[in-house]
Amino acid sequence: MDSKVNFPVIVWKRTMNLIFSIRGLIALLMSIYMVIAGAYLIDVLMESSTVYGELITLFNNRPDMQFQWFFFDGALMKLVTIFTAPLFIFDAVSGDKKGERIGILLSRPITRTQYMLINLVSATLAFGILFFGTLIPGYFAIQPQVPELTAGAYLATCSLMFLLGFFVLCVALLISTISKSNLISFIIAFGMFSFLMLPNAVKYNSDAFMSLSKITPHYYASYFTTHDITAGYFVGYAVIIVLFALPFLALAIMKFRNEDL
Amino acid sequence: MNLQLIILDTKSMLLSKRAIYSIIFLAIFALAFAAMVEFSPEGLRTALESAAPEGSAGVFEYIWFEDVLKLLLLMVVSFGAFMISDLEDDGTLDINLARPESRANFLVRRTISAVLSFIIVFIAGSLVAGIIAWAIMGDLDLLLFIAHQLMIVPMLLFVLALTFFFSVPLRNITYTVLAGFASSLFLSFTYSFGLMANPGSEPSIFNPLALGYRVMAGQPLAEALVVVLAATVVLFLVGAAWFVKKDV
Repeated sequence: MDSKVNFPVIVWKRTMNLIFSIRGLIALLMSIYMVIAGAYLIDVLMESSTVYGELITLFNNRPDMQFQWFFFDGALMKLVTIFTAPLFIFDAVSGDKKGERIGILLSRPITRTQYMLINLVSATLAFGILFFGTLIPGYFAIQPQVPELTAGAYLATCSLMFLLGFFVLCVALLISTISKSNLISFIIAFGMFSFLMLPNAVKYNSDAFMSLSKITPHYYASYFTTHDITAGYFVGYAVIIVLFALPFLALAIMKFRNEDL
Repeated sequence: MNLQLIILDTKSMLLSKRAIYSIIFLAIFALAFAAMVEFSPEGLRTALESAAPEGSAGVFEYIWFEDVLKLLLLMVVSFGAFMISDLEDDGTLDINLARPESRANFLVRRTISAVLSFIIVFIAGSLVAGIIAWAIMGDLDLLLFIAHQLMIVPMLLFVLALTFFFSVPLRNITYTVLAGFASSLFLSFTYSFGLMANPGSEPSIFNPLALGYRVMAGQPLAEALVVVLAATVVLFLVGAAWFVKKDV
C-alpha cells in the first residue's frame, strides 16, 4: 500500500457515508421488516397445510431446524442479502465514471487496486454493520417464540449468509466496473442474484438440480439450515464461499486496472 | 404538444438496454419458474395447486403473481425513472427545460413516452413469458394469463407514478430507483404477509400492489381499481405540481 494513503480512515469514512445515506436507510428498513415478519409470522407460515409448510417438510422435517431453514433459506434473509448487499456497491465505479469524478479521485496518491479495495471493504463493512446490527437483536426477538433455536446455529448461519453477501458485493463490483450506467448496473446485479437463487431453491426437485446447486455459493451458505453444525464443515464452507467470490474480485480489479479512463 | 418528440422518446426507450433487459428477464424468469413448478415433487405440486386461487390461470400464474412480479417491479421502476432522473443523470435536464416549452408540456410529453414504451415492453415481455410457460407446462391458460397481465397494468402505472414522485425531490437516478423499488417491495410484501396470516382473505383495497392478487383470485376489483387509479393520478399531479415550481 502507498504510505500516503490512510486506508483505514478512508474506508471508515466511506463506510459511514454509506450507512448514513438513503441506501443505508432503505437497507436498514428492509432488514428490520424481514426480521419482524420472520418473528411474527413464523407460526402461521409453518402450518403444514400451507405452501410454506409443504416446503419446510420437503426441505427439512427436523423440528429443531425448521425455523433456521424458513428464516435464512426459505426467502426472508436471503432476499435481504441479495437486495441490500448490492445497494452498497452497484454504483461504486459506474457512479464515479458517470460523474466524471474518477479522474479527480485517481489523480490522488492512490492506485487503482487501492481504489477498488476501498470500495469493496467499505461496502462490506457497511453491509456487515447493518446485517449483524439487525440480525443479532433479531435473535432475541425470535428466540422466545422458537425455543429450539440456539445462538450457535443462528450465528453460524448468519456468518455464512454474510459471506454470501460478500460474494454478492464482489460480483456487483465487477458489474459496476463493466457498466457505464448506475441503473443498468443495478438491474443486472439484482436480476442476476434473483436468478442465482434458483438452483438452490429447487435442489430437492431432482438429482440434477441438487448437483447444479452445489456450484452456487447459496448451497454452502444455507447448508446448516438443514444439517447439524460441525466446526470443520463450517470453516470449509466459509472458505468455499470466499473462493467463489475471489475470481470476480480479481476480474473487477484487472478490468479496472486495464481500462483507459 | 410535439408528437415527433414523443415518438423519438418512445423509440429511444424501446431500443434502450432497460427495455431489452426487461424482456430478457421476463423470459428467463418464465423459463426458470415454469421448469421449477413442472418438475416439483408431488407433495409440493399439490400444495401449490391447492394454494392457487380458483380464478387463476394455473399454478404458474400463482407463482408468477406472488413471487416473480415482486422482482420484476424493478423493471417498472426503471421506466418511471425515465421521466426526469434519466435527464438529470445525463446532465441534460436544464438544457431540455431551456427549450420554448412549458414544464407542464415537457412532463406530459415525457409521461406519455414512458407509459407508452412501458406498456409495449410489458405486453411483449408478457407474451414471451406466457408462451414459454405454456410450452413447458401445458396446463397454463395462456389467454387468461395474458388477460390478467393486462389487467394489472393500472397497478404497474401506480409504481411508475410513485417512482416519478420520488424523482422530483431526489432527482438522482440511483436514489430514485432505490426509493421506488423499495417502497413497492414493502407494499407488495405487506399484502403477501397479510394473506399468509389469513389465507383466503381479501387484501386491503388501500394497498395498490394487492391489485395483482385480486385480479388473479377473481376478487371484486371495482373499489380497488378506483383506489389505484386515484392514487396514481394524485402522485402524478402532486409530483408534476412540485416539479413545475421547483428550481432546477
